[in-house]
Amino acid sequence: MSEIFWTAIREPGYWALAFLLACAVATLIASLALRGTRRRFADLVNELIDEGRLTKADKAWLRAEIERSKGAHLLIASPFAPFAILGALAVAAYEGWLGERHDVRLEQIEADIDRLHAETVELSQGVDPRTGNYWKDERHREIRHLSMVLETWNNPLSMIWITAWLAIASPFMVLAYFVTGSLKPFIMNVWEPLRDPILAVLESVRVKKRLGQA
Amino acid sequence: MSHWFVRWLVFTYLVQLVAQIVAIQAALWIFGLSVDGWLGTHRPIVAFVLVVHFVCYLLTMLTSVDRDRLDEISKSRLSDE
Repeated sequence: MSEIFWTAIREPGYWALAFLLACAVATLIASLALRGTRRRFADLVNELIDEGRLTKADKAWLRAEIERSKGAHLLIASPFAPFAILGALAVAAYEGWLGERHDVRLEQIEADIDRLHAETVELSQGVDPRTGNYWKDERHREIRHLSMVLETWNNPLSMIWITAWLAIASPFMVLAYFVTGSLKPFIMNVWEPLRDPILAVLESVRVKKRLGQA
Repeated sequence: MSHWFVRWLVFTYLVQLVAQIVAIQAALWIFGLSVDGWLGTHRPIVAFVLVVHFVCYLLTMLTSVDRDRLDEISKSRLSDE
């Protein structure tokens, strides 16, 4: 019995079929796990609508969050993950070597992500969402978080691909950590900026192209 | 299930199946491997895996109905008109 097993796992065909099954199971598990998140997202959106205080800007923002939750951008961005991750790692090692002050830049990046997010909504919907009633509401943060979770895991295979590249890059990260003595530049350069700005840039390009055609 | 839903389901299933097969072929090509002979002599296993693969996809689509609900909210309740 064990001989059959060992013979089987030496066959590339076995691994090809196992990969197909793993893809299907990962997608199904992600879909099942996201049900609660998606329901909460829909409930929150309905709750805001029922309050009857939504302005044009709020509606534009909510439409953009629903669109974003589909995760189509992550699907487009994932093929570029190896270049983005390894490139960011090189920059991080260089900055760690120089000893730059990363606390200040981390705050700056967070502010930039907020600004980019608002500008993306403005570009795609034609309204500045910061002028809405709910931009500073506590539920704004929750909706954004839910939308981000949905976006990330709607295409679990893309996320696994990105994570795999992060894993491949991790030995270099450990090595660079010993050289530079700090993990902050790596968190800041590799993980933090990976998502929102890349997606925002992709969205901007798409919207600009659409505006150009109109 | 309406006719268009079945068509759409089969179409999207085939698209992602082809994408995954391309990824497998690319990996095999990189490592200089081939599965043609093995798959040919193990057809029942291949068929079984494909059936499970499709069932998983079907269940994925059926558990994602809330996605359509969100789309519906976006179009009907969040419209500017």
